Amino acid sequence: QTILVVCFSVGYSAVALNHVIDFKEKKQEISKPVSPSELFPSLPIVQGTSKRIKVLTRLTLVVSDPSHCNLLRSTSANIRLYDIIAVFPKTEKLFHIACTTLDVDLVCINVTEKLPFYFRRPPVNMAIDRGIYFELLYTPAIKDSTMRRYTISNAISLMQICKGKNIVISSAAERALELRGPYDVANLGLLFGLSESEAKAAVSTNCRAAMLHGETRKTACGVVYTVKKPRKVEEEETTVPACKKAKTQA
Amino acid sequence: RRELPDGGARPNAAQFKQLVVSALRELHGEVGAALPVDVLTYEEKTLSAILRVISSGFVKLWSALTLLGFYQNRRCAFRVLQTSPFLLALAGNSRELVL
Repeated sequence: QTILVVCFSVGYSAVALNHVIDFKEKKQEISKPVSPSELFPSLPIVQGTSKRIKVLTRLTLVVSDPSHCNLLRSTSANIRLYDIIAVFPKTEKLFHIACTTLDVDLVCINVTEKLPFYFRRPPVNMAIDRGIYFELLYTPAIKDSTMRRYTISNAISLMQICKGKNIVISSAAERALELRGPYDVANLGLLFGLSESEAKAAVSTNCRAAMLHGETRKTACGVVYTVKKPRKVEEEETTVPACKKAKTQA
Repeated sequence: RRELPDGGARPNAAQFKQLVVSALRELHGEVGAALPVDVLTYEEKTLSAILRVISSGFVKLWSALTLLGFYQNRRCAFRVLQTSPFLLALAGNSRELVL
């Protein structure tokens, strides 16, 4: 995984004026959250715009069973260390649960095979209201042509339902050569059916908003879930403007 | 202007053009491969080139280059450095312009 960080720094420093200055490191854990106490000696690298690259930690849960969702609540001590939490639902029920009640920031949309379920409008709209973003990966499209077809078809069906809102495009690159610059990725958004401004937002502003959502989730984490959920939601909303102000001042 | 960071193979100008056309064909089919693309300059040392395409085919060309993964069974990546409708604009970086 240290190799990954080196790859990313090589890739993004090559793109001189980079919209997306922060990037995320993806850790795949299935039902065993390991706290990323010391992932790597973090290398803050000064970039073209004299800002440092931020490295965030991110956890992706591949859920194929409703019991996996309990991990999100029970082992919150480990999960709190991750900045962003994403969930990867495999069935329609789990997709519905993830959009409506689970406390995540991103919902990954599978691009490597034909979706076993169709998107429906109610859970997608609820997810948009809650501030959850849908994530599309583009690296399979580079590797394999069948996966390319599935990527594009799944992306287009998602676009039809959510009208291009709350989309984040990211790469699941495992090598340095699989990374593409931010403008290239925004162009891919055009292929998926987004409009130009939406495509650019999918790379820049939506990612930022997902990060802030993760931060609010972290700060409001001390509240007990079962009864006080409405109050926790209010707390999240009040911490959002403070976080945004802090970000713009920093 | 495009830059091609490669594994080790060095294509010459004709092979580069063929690479671009095959990328278009893979993504957009015969219609994409028929898109008139010109390679204006090609430097073999840095593996960078300047391409010209009609504006209606711009998105197709760019997306095809982005999604290209392999060249002669090696991984490769196209890195688009600059795009502009005017050739002169490619000479400088307009974001660092000081007025």
